[in-house]
Amino acid sequence: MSQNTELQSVNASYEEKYGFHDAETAVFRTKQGMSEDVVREISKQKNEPAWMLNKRLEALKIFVNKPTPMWGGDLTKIDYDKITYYLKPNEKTEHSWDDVPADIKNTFDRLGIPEAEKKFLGGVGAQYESETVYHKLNEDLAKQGVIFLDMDTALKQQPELVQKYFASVVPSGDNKFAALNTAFWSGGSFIYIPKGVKVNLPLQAYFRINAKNVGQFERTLIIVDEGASVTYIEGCTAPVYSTDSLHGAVVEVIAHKNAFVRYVTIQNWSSNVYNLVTKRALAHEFATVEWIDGNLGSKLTMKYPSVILKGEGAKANILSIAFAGKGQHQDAGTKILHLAKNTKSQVISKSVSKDGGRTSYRGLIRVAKGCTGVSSTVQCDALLLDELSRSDTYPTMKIEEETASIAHEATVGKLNEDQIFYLMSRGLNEAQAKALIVLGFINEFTKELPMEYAVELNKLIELEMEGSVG
Amino acid sequence: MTTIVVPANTSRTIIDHGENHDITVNGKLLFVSVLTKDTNATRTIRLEGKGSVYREFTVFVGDKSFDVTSNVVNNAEESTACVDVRGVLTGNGKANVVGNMKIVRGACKSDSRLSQHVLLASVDARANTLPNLEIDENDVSAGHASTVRPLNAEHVFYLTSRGLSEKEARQLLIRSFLLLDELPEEIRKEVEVPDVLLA
Repeated sequence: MSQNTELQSVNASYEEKYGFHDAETAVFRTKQGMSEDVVREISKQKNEPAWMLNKRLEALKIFVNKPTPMWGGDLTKIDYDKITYYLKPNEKTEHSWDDVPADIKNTFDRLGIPEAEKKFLGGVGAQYESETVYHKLNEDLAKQGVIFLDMDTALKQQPELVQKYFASVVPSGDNKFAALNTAFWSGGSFIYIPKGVKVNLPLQAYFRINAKNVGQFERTLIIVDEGASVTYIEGCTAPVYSTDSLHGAVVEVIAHKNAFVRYVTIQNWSSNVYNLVTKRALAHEFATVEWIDGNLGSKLTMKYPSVILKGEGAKANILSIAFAGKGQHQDAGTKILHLAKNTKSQVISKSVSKDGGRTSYRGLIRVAKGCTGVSSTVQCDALLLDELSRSDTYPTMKIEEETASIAHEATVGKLNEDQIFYLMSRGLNEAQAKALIVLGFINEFTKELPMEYAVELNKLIELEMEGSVG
Repeated sequence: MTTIVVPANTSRTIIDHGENHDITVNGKLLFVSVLTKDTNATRTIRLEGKGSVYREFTVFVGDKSFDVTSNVVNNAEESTACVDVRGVLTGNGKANVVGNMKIVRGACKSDSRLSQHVLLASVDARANTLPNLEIDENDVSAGHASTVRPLNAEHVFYLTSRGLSEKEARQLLIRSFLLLDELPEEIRKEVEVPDVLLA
């Protein structure tokens, strides 16, 4: 519990911690707006093979022709012509922290990235605007054949792997924003874990948007070979500007037979970022995929981490929290396709709405015919902290198999006054009591995070809650 | 489409077999729907009176196509909505069960409950369930639950170990699953558990 009894407003704390911005010193940027020329220019700057350029151009056509989705959040206010699609902050990716330019280093120092690497990470990538500025992998892991690169370097160094798996789980035509990403992607992480290698320390990437009106379209591809395991963590922040930015990532995960992948996201974008992300994993026989997904910031988040359970006995666990404050809409959820026998899935979703924020759970569980022995449980709990806030649940279950055992459960409620009263009778003030109850509410999520992240998340929630005494 | 208004301080029971309804409730309404034929029905219920109550039981059994949508809006303080949908699908039976439960801002101390449970008793049966909640007021309680699964073999085994025949055991379990004992007597008889389920 924070002993700081001084009340702060939510935005004040964000601006101080993450909302700063440094001078823009890009070495190259495309002109605002999108066109075929912009796509060609990005591809030329990156010196890409022809197949990638063709993939980008094809995706641009798909993006232009696909209608804007009318469900979920309000996407009509995005002005695609005002966005800069590619902004290169630096000439190359550095592997020593000392070589990163001072102003960019300053940003990540303020966010605590190098310290975290020293303490508990097996590898770190840091992306600034469109390009990865720093990348480092623990030497022991490199010796075991683990590949952890930024996506652009991977395209040069591991062309066969990239060509084989790129867009294999999320094709360009999957949805409008997957097409947008495929056309303009830059940066992101590439991870390959060889057969049987267990990576015990998490690998981490940190994504930062610094400039105004910029689109960040990172592309992450994680391939975990038979019997291997890895935990990957990503964090995201951006400065507070009055104009909007767009974050449109695509994440593809391939978990081969008996593999284990845990993907942890804590996104804390400022409240002017549209966060439209497609995350999908393909799980082969007896593989386990876990999405641990924390959504604290952004103006609008539309993100539905999904798992295709393709191999017999594959498992999916999804654990997510969403926290929506003033003017924020968190439209999150999951999609799980059970396409093989004896596949299992479990979803726990917790959401908290406050100061007029809106959270939605939108989910799909599908069991294909003939997939015997499937079980799935979905649990959604929502907490509304005041009379201005709103919570929606839209789960869909499509069951075509007799033996499937599918359960969904949801509750919506407010903070329990008896609990607040009890805690206050034990000496806490009202804000502390409320914060403690909220922390308890999301505890199932927090306890799955690495220690340092759990502490940080608890601090963030406490800060969000401090302004909440009406 | 039938349009019905239930006045304040009155209690009504409606027995339905798959009609479309548009109902405004100021008092109390018990809505019982028993479906055995192909159905494509939408019932829209608005709770407009303070303290109004809506209780729905929908039961469907068989190899038909059951498309049922319940739209329930809590538009008044202290209003209560509780919807139970239970179905058993045999043969090529198909179910598409949609529940849209909405609590509007200002409907304080309201309660909205939705449960949808489907038993699949055939390899060709299919069920889609969409239990949607839209909650725009914080001083309320709301919840939904939805399951799709086969009859629990362990439950059948237990009852047969206590001396019931397998047919009796299945009959008993399906009756309790369908909440038949909560329905009014006259309608209970209409729900026949098909023999195919008891084999």
